[in-house]
Amino acid sequence: MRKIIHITVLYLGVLRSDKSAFFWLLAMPIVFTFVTGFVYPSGGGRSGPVRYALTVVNLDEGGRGAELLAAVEEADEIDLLLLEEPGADSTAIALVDDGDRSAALIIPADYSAKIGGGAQATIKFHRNPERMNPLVTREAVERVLSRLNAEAMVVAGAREAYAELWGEPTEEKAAELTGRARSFVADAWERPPVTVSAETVGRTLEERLPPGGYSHSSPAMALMWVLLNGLMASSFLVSERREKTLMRLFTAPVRRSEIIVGNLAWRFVVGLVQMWFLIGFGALVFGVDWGDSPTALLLVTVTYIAAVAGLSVLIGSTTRTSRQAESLSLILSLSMCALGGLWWPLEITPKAYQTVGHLIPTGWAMDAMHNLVGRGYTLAEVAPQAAALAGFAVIFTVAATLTFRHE
Amino acid sequence: MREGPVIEVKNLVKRYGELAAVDAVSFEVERGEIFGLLGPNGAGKTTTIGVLSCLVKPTSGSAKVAGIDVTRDSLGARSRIGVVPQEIALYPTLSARDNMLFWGRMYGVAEAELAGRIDELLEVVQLAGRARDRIDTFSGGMKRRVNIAVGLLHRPEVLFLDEPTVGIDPQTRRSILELVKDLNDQGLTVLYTTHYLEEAEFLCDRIGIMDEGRMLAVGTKSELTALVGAESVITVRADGMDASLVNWLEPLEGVSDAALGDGDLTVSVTTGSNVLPPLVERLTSSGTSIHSIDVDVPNLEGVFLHLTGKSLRDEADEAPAEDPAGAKP
Repeated sequence: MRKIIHITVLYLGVLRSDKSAFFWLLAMPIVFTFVTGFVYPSGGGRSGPVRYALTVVNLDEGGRGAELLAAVEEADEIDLLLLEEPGADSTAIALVDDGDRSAALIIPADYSAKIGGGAQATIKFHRNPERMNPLVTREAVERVLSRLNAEAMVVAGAREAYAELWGEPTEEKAAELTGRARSFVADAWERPPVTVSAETVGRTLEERLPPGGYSHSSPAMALMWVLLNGLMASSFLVSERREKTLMRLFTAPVRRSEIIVGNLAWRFVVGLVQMWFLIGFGALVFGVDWGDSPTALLLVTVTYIAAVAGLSVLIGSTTRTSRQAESLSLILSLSMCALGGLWWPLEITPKAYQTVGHLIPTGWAMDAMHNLVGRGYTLAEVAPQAAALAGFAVIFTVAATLTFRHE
Repeated sequence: MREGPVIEVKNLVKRYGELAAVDAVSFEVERGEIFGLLGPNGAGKTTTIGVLSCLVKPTSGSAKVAGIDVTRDSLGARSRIGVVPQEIALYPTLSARDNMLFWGRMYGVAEAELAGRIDELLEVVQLAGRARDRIDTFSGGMKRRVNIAVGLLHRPEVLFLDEPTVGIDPQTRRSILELVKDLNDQGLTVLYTTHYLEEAEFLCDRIGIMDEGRMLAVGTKSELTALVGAESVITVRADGMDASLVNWLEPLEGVSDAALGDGDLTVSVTTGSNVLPPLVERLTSSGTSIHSIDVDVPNLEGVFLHLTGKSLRDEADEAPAEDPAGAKP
């Protein structure tokens, strides 16, 4: 065991003496994460609540229209886009009809007057039938209106009851009645007498969508650069054979297994440090939520890096020159990134593409990352992906052990 | 320390398909001697050293180092040997000291002893002042010296030096040969492979001559030359020599031929015979004026030529750089 540690420490020392290593291991992955995260569209997952835009035009001459908009704006899922120029109502309708906006809410000029006079007021919700967003925004508007309607009815009911019992209320009393009625409705809204307990079978559509933005780019680039750097390290083994340091090691009283494990171990340590640096950077700088289970994340990263280390030693053992090793590593890395869904989510690719993606480690690793980062899966839920990665690690390591040579 | 030969090789065979890289080779190396394996590239020297270093599995035969069979107890054998490959088998971006720390640990040198041992060896190879400098800043000769020092870290019973002077300048070569001599003077047993006759003659107590995988002869330089019946030739250039001198010489023990030419006397004698002193005495007592005396002693080149029918120098120039079938470890 001591000799394995010494071999590992030696190679880490050799790596440390190469200044460019830090550039490729740490700086480049960050740059790529930033650039790709910037250009990836936001997707599903848990990267914060999704908000929908609603175009609004407030023609109301009183204050009740503004109150309505303020209440709508409080909804988590709505962003209001207010149009104020003359003829804004026509403009809003044209924008929706042309498909530039998905829906528009238009509050008429007599909105406050009608409510104040006890008449029925109508607001206009104009939607584009091709778009899904209006379903969400209309539901939010109707939810706000329900509350406002309930409030209005309770106020009116309270005033009517007061009038029947004690005569018409004074202005001061009317204001008090209105305040108390609104307070009553607000409390009732928070604690409704009847609630619906809804259960969703499996994951919701939103949870099943691949995460976007940095929630995709951060894990994807971490997996990509760990793979790329790990496989490129295969040429180090070729250099060791060329320089005869490996041969010298075989003439020392060191077991073959210790030499092989040492070669796997330093690659594993470098990959693990790089991966967790990028995970930490993603969390702190890009705000990526890496899920609820650090254990699951550790298991996935460990099995993935073990597979990469095994493949790196296998390439180093089966190629003759550094150029061969580097070329093969580059071709394999880039192919596995593309096929495994590191550059675009596998979920958006055809079935056959997804099948091919799962013949290589990156497909399973990216699945696991999406499950952890976007969907908050548990350790048990990512166990299949981790098992697949462990399988790749075993296959590559056995093949590397069988082909490992000093000449 | 164990008595008997440090290296015992018996009927060693290493085949690569039909090709025998080593063919029934046998020899022994005694404690404290420098034993040279001499032969052209492809002779099987490196494969033989590969078997002894546990890098190459023999097809048949046996090889023991310090009494340990290299095929049965590879780890035990490897802990007794120091191997200095032809190449600079060091990590160029690490310092000399860091390289030696690593190799010392690989050879199982105790941590408590290691630092002191490194200092000691850096003194021996005269690089104590450069201990913390990176290997890639060293000259070729300095790298060679560190390369040798690494092989000595664990105080091996025998040091294998595989053509350590190939491709280096004469000054570096001389310093390496002197270093090997010094180490041997301190009691280290050395197995030295080379295709340079001068090195074998200068360094080795005994020499094994190899060609095409076979061991052709083993012995000291004089034993080898005697083995093939080689003769020394004495050439005297002097005034006033006559036929009586030839008549006087011919009956002497060790003289096989004597001939007088135009002012030159050529005498063929058995190597090791004691003809020169009485000859000089007779010439000076007869008042002959001697201009020069040359003694052409038979060398290993002649022995190799005699054994193989070809010149080692030509072979060394023409042979490929590797052993057959990539047998080089």
